[in-house]
Amino acid sequence: MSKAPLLSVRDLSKYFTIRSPFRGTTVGTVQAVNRVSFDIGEGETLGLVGESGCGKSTTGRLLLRLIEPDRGEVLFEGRDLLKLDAGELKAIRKSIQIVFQDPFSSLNPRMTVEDIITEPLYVQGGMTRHDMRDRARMLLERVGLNAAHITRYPHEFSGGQRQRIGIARALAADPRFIVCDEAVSALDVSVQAQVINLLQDLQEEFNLSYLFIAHDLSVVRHISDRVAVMYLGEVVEIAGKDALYASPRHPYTKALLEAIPVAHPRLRGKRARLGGEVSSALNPPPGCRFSQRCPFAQDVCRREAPALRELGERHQVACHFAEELQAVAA
Amino acid sequence: MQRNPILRVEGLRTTFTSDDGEVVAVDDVSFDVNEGEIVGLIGESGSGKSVTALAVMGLLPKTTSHVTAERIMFDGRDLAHASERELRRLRGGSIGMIFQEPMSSLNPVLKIGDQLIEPIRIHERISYRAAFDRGVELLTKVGIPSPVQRMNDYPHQLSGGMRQRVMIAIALSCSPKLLLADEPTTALDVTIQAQLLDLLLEIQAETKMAIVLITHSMGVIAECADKVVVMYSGRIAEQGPVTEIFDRPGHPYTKGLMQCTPELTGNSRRLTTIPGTLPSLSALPPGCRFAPRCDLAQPDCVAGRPPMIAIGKEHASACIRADELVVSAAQPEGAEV
Repeated sequence: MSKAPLLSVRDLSKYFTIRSPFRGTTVGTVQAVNRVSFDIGEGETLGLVGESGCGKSTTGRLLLRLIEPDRGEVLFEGRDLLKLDAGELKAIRKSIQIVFQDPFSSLNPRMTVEDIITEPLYVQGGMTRHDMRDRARMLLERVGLNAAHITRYPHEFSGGQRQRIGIARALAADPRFIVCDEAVSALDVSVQAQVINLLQDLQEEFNLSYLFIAHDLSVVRHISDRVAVMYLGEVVEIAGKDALYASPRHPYTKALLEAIPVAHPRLRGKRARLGGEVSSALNPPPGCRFSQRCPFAQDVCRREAPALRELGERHQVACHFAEELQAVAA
Repeated sequence: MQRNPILRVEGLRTTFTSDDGEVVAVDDVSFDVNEGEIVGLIGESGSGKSVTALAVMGLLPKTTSHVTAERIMFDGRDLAHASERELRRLRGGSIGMIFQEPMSSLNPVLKIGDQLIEPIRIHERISYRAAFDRGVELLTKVGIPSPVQRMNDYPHQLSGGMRQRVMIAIALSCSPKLLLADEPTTALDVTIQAQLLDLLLEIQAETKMAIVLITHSMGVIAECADKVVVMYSGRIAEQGPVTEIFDRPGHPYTKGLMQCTPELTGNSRRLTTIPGTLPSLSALPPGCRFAPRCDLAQPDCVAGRPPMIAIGKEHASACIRADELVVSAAQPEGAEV
């Protein structure tokens, strides 16, 4: 894996200004995404996990410029997406697609399945109506639906089937990179497993790269090659999935993993629980954002924000005491 | 371990009137909840688990639904044939309830304190002051910081986890003997879920109340339940003690549910799936409702409704091939600790 990554994100930030609804004065700034950096290689899946409000979905949307970032770089095949004009952006969107969480609100109820799937092709241009329809049929079959259902409307499908339609739409323009924003979270477990398998098959077949955003840690472990953990707008740890799940270096990652319910009743037992709740991203504390909940926090944690640093091979962590904690655990 | 059932549901059936005619959402469901026991009711969406709880409480709309049951015995009373007046006295009193969405089940225009005090003053004739003090005590018990100040807050001022703690406090306000918790942690993050499950277990250990915990997560079941009732498409697929269910699942659906949840260890590239989707209630398959998705299905499966077969101590399955399944699970996977 020595060649340049397909997608490279550097110091990506997005702050939202909150204004008073009546006077219009600035109340504060929500640092939704703060200096996030990661790479995704070709054919690789990076899992992005964190609790609600940690900025994982915003990060996904920033990559596609569905929300305009404030600062940073998003290099896709070496080109900075943030510097492209509207025309260039449209051309490159063919290669970067997204699958949304809610299979009910992400498909236009007044469009047929054919219109939904061919819309990206229509926007990109260069194909005849007939070719587009053939491609839509092919894609429907590829995602496990009946090609004859091309004239139906979204409400005629179940949640899992709709998510397959959303995946077919993302595949239509032959992308290289797909952001899966909680793409299986709304599905029942039996259907969720089918969609996860489909995403993995498609990845192999089309050599796709995924940014897989989810809050379910076991699903993320299953599908990802590497995993990034976010807390309050910042990436606190990135590592290969085995390293991250077997020996987490950041206290937050550790706490997150310990909160997962056990797999078998025999494994029950008292475990260390993370107290408190995610603090507000509105005017976050100085220093490490996790310091208020961290059982190991020292004075330095409340003063200085730890930078994301390399700790072992391709294992990055943003904690002042990562080595000490590792030694204690061992 | 006491063996007295606090709740005994027998032959519960619930139908709804819809555009497609009568649909049966819950079809002949029977189970017991013993004193001080946590019963996990698990199933996917549309399996009838929430409807079961609402039907037991008599909370379904009378205009569109019809509930019948041989008996629903709670603490010596038959709820199936109880008057509305009697049910009202029990709800919020001896039977507490927690719902999934803490935002929509709390009244947004009433202060937390008022919502906490209301049931106490309805069920017990005590002064406002005494009820207020009880409220503060309850908020402390469920782990809400500065409880006196919180009594004056509105629901929107609290986070999702805190709101659910308030819901738990309300449900506990009259020291119920039975708590019906309908997906109490589903809308919450995993760290908050862990906190709340710990809290429920702690309170349960202290008060010895029985809990019916409705969930779609095998993890929550593994974490909390003593006994499990697995529902599929309005019927009970399997029920039994929690370790039995995990070690020797006696229904292909239970087995499938456990296999299609990704594990935190191991390196399988593909997940085992259950093919197909849940049947629509208006187009139910004949015989065993799981048969169209089941890889063990044989002609007998669609011939008629499979009876509940006893396959172990208090362990029963509605699968005609349950015995074979249990034998094949003789070497339980993942049993090493």
